[in-house]
Amino acid sequence: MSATSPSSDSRWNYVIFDYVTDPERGQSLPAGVAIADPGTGRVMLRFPAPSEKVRGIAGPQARMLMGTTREQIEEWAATGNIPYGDASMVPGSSAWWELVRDLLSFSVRARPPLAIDCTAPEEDLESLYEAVVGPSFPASEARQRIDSRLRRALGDELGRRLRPAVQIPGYEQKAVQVRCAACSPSGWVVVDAVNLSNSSQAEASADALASKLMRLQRGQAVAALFVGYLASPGGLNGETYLKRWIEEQTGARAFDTTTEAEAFRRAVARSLDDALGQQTLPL
Amino acid sequence: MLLSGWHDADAGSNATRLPVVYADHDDGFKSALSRWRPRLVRCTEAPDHSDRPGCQYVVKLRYSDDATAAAISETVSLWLLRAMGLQTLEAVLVVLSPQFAQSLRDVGAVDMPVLPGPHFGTRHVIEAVAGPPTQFDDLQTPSDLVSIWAFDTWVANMDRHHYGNLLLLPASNTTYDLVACDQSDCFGGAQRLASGQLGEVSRWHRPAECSPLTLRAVLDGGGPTAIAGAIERVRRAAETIPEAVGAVPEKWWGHVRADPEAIKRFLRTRGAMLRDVFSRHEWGDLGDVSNIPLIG
Repeated sequence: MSATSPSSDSRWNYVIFDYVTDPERGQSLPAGVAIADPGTGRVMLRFPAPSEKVRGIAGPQARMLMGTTREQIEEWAATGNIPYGDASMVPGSSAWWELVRDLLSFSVRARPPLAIDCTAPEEDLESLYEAVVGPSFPASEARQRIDSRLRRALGDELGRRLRPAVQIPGYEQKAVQVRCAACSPSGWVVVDAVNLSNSSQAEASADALASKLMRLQRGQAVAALFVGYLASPGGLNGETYLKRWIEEQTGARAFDTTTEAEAFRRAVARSLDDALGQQTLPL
Repeated sequence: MLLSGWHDADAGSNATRLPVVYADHDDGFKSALSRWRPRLVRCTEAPDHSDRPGCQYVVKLRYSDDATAAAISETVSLWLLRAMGLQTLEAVLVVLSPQFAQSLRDVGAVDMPVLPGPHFGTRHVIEAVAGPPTQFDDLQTPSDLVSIWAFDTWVANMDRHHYGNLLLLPASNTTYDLVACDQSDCFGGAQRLASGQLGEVSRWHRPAECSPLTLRAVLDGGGPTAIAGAIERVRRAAETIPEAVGAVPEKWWGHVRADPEAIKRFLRTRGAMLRDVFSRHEWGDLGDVSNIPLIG
């Protein structure tokens, strides 16, 4: 369990923040999220970073307003001093969020807190943010987010046994690049990953990965295929069908990189052991 | 124009009164937290609402003498802030018909009778963040902090430091304008104004509460020089005291014990002692800026 993992008595909740885009019609868009543990008073917020785009919320002034609001809430949580609050009010508690909701009466508004089964706060916050807000990341950042989650899920030992960024002959012998793989006499053990947590991009990402892996399968060089996927907390984004689609179309076994990390590691390790014994063959 | 006993002339003298709009329908609380529990009310410019949908205003309803005193405080202060060259929200008099006032009570929106007639309101802004500001560099014009501090000292505003009594409106992509947006508790507080205890308050010899950011703005502006500049803005605004007080709807005075002349005296008295108030507190004798005329 990492230092940031929730303790056994943690009881996290989450809150969605909306940005009012058309006050006359009462229209708004999800713009940020928070998760909080009233047991410890810990509150974590996530709003769009400067490099991220959120459809419908354009303009630097909107970002400035969101940024200032985020700073205010972080200060209320960190100091325990919230306007109109009292000392007994615990940051992240229902009463505290209710007060935050009353205080935010301009362009950024807060919804009531909801329950969440939080297993890894930092990762869940990111996944929740992607699921609810659906931001677009710069391509390099999007790749890094998936790579780092995959690395963490596989662990150091598998990281050493698998080679990164491997090109394998696929359909019509054209090279297909995968995130990592190990070569064995019976074929390649391949591990790739996809982000299914982003509400605005999950479908396209799933289709792209499925297509790529289907090309790979046509090359007859794959012994085992695994996919790690970034999921929204509790499947909030409804991405389960995309996971199944990838599995059905490619024969891959797909694992949630957060909640199924252990099973993911075991499955990949067993496959490597079966294919190679304890050693990978040189590329 | 007659509307169920309401006359336009009741809104104050024609020369200085605030624009008048007419309450069409209630949109609920703007904030249930603050003492005056302002409401969002959609209003039209036409008394018969033929120009719907109109605009949303934040309205502080007058349901007590204190609330009427708060409305007087808002109206006079708004005029003076503008005369100091400071930004304010777009203010109006929101006229409630007797039917609308009764309807508010009937549906449980308020738990006390609301008076028909004019109430103080400001145009509802969305693209804003409630202050006070926390980052000095976020401010487009930090010296406004000093001017607002001087204003608050002048009018004995009690609660500028409360959340939401300053608004931050985007001035650029990286900075905010400061807007003083709640002046209900000037003159030592609405209760004192309602009960006519202005004489005591006018002799208060301490500046309004100074936030760390205001202190930094003072120091960045040259210390006494910054304060002297703010006092000079007060002095110029003080020339418009009659107009500021004249903007108050005539009928409001019947609900408070203070009268317009008492307010004028109060403002002149405190204006005249403003330099002394700041000199006594930390800023020495204001050095070479003592040539600023006293407010008379």
